[in-house]
Amino acid sequence: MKRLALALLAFAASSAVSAEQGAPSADAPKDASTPTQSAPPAAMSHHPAAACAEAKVDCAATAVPAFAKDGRLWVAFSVGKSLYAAASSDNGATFSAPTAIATIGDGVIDAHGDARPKIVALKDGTLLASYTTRPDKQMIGTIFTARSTDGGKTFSAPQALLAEGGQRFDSILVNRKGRIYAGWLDKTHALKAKAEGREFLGSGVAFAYSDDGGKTFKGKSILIDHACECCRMSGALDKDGTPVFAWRQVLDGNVRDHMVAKLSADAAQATATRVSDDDWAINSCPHHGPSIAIDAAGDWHVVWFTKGKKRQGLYYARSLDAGKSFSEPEKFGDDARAAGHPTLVAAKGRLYRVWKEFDGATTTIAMQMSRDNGKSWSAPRVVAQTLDASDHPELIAHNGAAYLSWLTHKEGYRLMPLPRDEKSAAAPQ
Amino acid sequence: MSLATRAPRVIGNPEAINGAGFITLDSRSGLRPTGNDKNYRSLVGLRRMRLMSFAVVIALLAGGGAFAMDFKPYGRGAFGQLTKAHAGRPLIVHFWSVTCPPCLVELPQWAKIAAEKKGSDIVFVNTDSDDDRARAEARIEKAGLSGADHYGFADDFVEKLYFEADSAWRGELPFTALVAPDGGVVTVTGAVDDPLIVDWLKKHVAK
Repeated sequence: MKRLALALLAFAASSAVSAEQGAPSADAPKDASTPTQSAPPAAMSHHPAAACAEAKVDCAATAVPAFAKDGRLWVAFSVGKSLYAAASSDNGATFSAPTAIATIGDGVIDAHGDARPKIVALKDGTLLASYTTRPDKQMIGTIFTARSTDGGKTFSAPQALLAEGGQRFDSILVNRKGRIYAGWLDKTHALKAKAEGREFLGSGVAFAYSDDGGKTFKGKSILIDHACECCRMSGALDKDGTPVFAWRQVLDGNVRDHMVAKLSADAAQATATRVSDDDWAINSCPHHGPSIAIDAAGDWHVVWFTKGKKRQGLYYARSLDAGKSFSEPEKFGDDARAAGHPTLVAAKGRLYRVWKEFDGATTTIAMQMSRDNGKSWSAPRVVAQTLDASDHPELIAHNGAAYLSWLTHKEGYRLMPLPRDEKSAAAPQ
Repeated sequence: MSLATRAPRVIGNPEAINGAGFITLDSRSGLRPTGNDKNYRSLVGLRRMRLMSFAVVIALLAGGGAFAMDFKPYGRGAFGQLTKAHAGRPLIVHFWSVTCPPCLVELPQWAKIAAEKKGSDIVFVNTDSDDDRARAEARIEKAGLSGADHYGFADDFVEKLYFEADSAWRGELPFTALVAPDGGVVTVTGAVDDPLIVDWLKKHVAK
């Protein structure tokens, strides 16, 4: 009996790890076709809100922004099987002709939901783009990076972060000294377990760093096992310039709650703590990763989504002791409006959190601001809305100001400055 | 460069955090939060055994030809249209993705239910984009579900698609909507052996 159970376990586990690392794949296809309303089930309306297929930001499903030192806003995005970067000198109102970084022959570029191409700008003007592909014949992902040293006119040939193993959901940070840190979810241990017929839940959490502007990454290592393989990682730089990453972990009993870990400067060690005990014991892919921000005082702030036994909805907690302990989770967002995809950012003494809500017709981005390191927050205020498909909200800080970056089908790409004082933060739309 | 060439061990401050406890990390063994791992494994084992005991091999109904499968487009309004089209009969709408490992593990169990519970209509909805549909088809064949009724997400406005099935659904997968003959809907996130699904099948679907 016991042996049978083990054999079945092994079978189940091998099926699990042969799956790709979960992506928020529920998001949408891109090809266009004619909308048809009220068709019978056999011919249900096809792509009524299809994105366009041109090589421009507005046609992408996701767009991740970065400010360069010269003040230009860069976004990385993919359309079809190609990855692009484009720059804006007017805070996202218009973009230059995009630079093609790569076109893949087969498979997909991850660009839906939690999985998305990214770009970071280094102090010397170098741009570093990263993206993940999943080739057709392969059930795992590969993270690629490409660099531009001519102001985004051209990018180097993309190179795989790792030649084997299967990786997704990268998060890249650059500190003041120019050291680049990368964190990602890594299937290497899961694939090894599968090959040996052992059960292995989730992915590993791996890290690396680069001192040559992203040409090479050193110290690539899986430091933690059993991250939930379905959600993004989030990273922020601590006061000392080393990064802290947050992700969803598969804990004992298939509980998918959140962890944070601070890396050592050489990315060789990670000190991890659990953010909360929501007790979301579920054999599913939440497709909903956390977000972390660290303010100038060095306080850590985390937001996340859960449907746990103890808590359900969006929550916020902070740590005043560098992750040793976290405050009692505080609920925000409106459950009646399917609040989701929270993210936060710190900007010059202020902290912002935004999230998505949907009432069945209108998608809104709600915002709250804190001027006391997260102790209290302004009343929620709708800062943007749309009536059709949209990307998750992104936040970005630049020169002490915070911006909402949001890509919607109807309105295209938007970069919106967030209020700097509580009075305007509280003002109705 | 190879991964995990070192085995750094990190011991944290053992102070309790929110009652969650501190976790000791080790690059090889991963997280081992306080103790009942063994119990958990046997629990999982029993649960999976129960599931697997159902899982007989079902012959592939369709051949292995590429793109042979017809994924009907699932856009906004689809959920209502489905419930209307199947009104008066128990309907199960199961949402899944190729990038969701728990979904793939349980697809074969859905094949078993589809074969056993002839009194119900089961519709499968793949939430991936068109780019991933070939993989979805391969998984369907592997699970023995080639002959079932398949839809594929065909709209970028996923919030709307989620909302129509359940206003509280944010896209977690697998996700199953159980629609009773009278139109009453129960939704379940996660495993097919969830008591809600088992009870619903008992109540609404005879063998």
